[in-house]
Order: sequence, then structure tokens, then C-alpha cells
Amino acid sequence: MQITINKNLAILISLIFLFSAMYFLYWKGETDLKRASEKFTVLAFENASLDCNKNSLKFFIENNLPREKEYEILILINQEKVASHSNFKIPARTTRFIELESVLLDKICQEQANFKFEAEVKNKEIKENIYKFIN
Amino acid sequence: MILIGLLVKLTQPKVDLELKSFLKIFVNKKTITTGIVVIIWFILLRLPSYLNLSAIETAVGSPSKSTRIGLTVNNLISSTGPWRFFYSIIGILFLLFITWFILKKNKKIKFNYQIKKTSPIEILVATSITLGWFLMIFLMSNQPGLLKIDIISGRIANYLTYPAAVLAGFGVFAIIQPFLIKIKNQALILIVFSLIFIPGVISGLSDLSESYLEKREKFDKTVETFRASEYLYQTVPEKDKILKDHIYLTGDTWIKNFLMRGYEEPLSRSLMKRYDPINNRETCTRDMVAIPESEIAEKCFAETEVRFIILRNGYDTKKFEESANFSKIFHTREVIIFEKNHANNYK
Repeated sequence: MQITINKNLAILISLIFLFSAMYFLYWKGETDLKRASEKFTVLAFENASLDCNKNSLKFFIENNLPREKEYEILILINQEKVASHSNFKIPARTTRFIELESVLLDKICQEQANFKFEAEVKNKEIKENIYKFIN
Repeated sequence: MILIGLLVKLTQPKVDLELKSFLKIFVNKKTITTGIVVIIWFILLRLPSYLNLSAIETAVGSPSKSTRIGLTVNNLISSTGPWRFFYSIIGILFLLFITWFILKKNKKIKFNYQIKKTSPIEILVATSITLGWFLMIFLMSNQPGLLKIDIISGRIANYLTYPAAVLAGFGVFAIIQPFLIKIKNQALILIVFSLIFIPGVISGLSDLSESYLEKREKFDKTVETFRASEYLYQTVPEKDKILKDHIYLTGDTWIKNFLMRGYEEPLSRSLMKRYDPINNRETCTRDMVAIPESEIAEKCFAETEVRFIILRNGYDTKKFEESANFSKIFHTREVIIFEKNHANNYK
């Protein structure tokens, strides 16, 4: 039996094959990245400044998980609790910024020249903290 | 080049007559203009980093480390890709074979491979440039001692991919072309092409997957390293120096994608054997991580102006956590970033 294929069709088949392979590679990489990103939470300050001001003490929790998570947040100055949030809910794949209330921030900045500002975040799965030595 | 030259001598005694056409390939308006532009670029705009004296001194000499003594042929096959390497060898054989037959004025070969250009000089130049490119990089990565090259062999081997790809093209052409000439059934041609091409694609994809994705856990950790690097890229001014840990951080080399702000940046705490006194290298990158509270490290922080340190969570992080000289500004389950307090005072 003689099989004949049009030349353009042959090129088309080859291109489809090539692009299918490339698209598979792209899809696999994207899926793997997405899956890997969904496994961790980030706790970090918004900026690296060590001055006592609103932006310097602002931090964020990045919930990369594919579901809403509930966190307990403790804010400590020189290891003494000054504020807390319990049942702080962050929806799936969302970042929430947290900052001190202005009154409390002003009080802290005025009263203390050097201090350790610490944010502790925990739930059943994680217990993470970040801190800055403000001066 | 020498081999090709000998071929010419053997087969073309009157080659001197073609010297003019040979010279024309290299000395013409286009090459002279390009050469002048390149020289002006180097002098007036920027000299490539690999041409400065310190880079040349570092790269020339007998191999000084185990990573610079050359890769085995098996290593080279694996880094170039088995499929590409196989067809590049066929490409080399084909080019030598075709050069020989063209010089011998074999009409059948010319017809089979549809070679219309018959100037032996042009064929020789095309062949020798491609082969010379491949063979030179092959020797540089396989036998660096012979050429007095003191660069990491694995790094040179990466560049073998390019001439190998060109030669593999010749290799595939060598196999397919006789079918194209003799067989009119396009389906059969497509099948032959697929038989060559599909293993190449599969081989390439499996190489990629084996290089990283095979270990799910490792990949997951690398993504956290990516996130930490992205954080520093977005948060930290360009002037601030960063130190990363190569020993424990997963996928730390990728940090350069985000934070390569200079040739040697970010600084890296390397494997301990690299700090062996015999290597006569700096030890600050080691001391700033291992003994951050010491006087030595303090001097190093002042010298290097390092402000941020990226470490793997739980690995050499305790001393930083116990110190009042470092703030912890970023935390995931795998990666922690510390900031040196008062780092700006050094500047």
C-alpha cells in the first residue's frame, strides 16, 4: 500500500509535534513551580530599614497555600508582648501587610532609642519569627 | 586546521592559485568593517571582563584545582547531550568525508548532497572553522593541561553545546539527504526524519527533567530560595552587598539570576575544602557565616561591606539568632535572611 502525504502536511505534522513537546515542557515547569510555591508561608519585613518609623516596622505574611489559613500574631518589644492578633485569617494565595497602630508606634519610638522589635507568627503548622534591632 | 591543510596539499597541488580567493573570505569590506567596530567598541565603550589582565592571569596556567583538570569523554557526552553528541560525531565524519570527496571531484557525492559550491577553498574553510570550533572546546574541557588553561572544566564544557549543535545539524543532514534524493515517498521521509528527531526531543526533555525535577523536595526548596532572592531584589538597594551560603542553601547558584550586581556578587560562602590554605584564597566569606560574632568576622564585614546574609533555615543560623548584631528580616521554613545591624556605618 502506497501512503502519500502532502509536503505541507508533513511540515505541519512536524511542527505540531515540536510545539506539543515544547508546550508540554512549559506546562510541566509552570505546574511544578506553582505546586512548589503552594507549600510555604513567607514572613518578612516590608523593607530593610532599621529606623523607628511606620514603614520600617511594617511586615507581611504571604500565604501561598491553596487554602485560607488562620494565624496567631504576636508583636514583642524587647521580648515583651505589646500587641497580638489571634484568628488572623489570610485567604489562599494572598499577602497581608501588618503594621502597628499609630499611637502605639509613636509611643514606642518616643520612649525607646534602641530596642528589639519582633513579630512572631504561628499556627498548627508553622512557628516563624522575624525581628529588627531598631536604633 | 593542520589536517585540513594536509588534505589540501595531498589533493590540490595547485592550491596556491586559490590563495587569493581564500584571502577574500577573511579580507573583505564586511570583515574589515566588523573588525574596526569591534576594536572601537573595546577601546571606547567597554572591554569584555574576560579580556582584562586579572581575568587572563586567573584563567591561564596549569590547572590548579580538581575541578579544572578536565572532564572525561563520558562527562562531556552527558553535558552536551547524548543525542547531540552522537550526531555531532556523525557531522564531523561527514564533513571530513565530504571534503575528501569534493577535493577528489566525486560527482556522485556532489549530486547526492546537492552541493553546488565547488570551490575547494570555500568547502575547506567552512569545514575547518566548524571542526576547529568543536575540537578546540573539546580539548579545552578534556585536556586543559595541554593548553595551559586554568578554568573550571565544566564551565568550558557548556560551550561545547554550540559547535556540537551545528555539527549535529550536518550529521542529521548526512543521514536524511540521501533519502530525500532517492525516495519520493514523503511519508517515508517523514518517518526517517521522525526517527532521528523524536529521540532528540525525548533525550533533551529527559535531560532537563533529570537535572532538577527528579527530586521533588529539592525543587520545592529551590523555589523558596528563588522567593528569598526576589525579596532582596525588590527590597535592597543595589549598592548593598549580599552574602549567600553555597554549602547548605538549595539551588543557591540561581540567586545570581536575581542578585548578580557585579562580577563577583553576591558573595558566596563556598565549600570548606576551597578554603584550604593551599588554595591561598580569601576566608572572609567563610568567617562571616561560621563565626559572625568574632573579631575576624567583624573586620570582614567592614572590608566587604556585606549587609545581608542568606542562609538555610537551621544551618549556621543559631549564632546569628543569638546575636544582637543581626536582624532577621525574612523567614520561610527553608530560607532565612539576616541583616547586619549598623552595616551602613562601614561606608
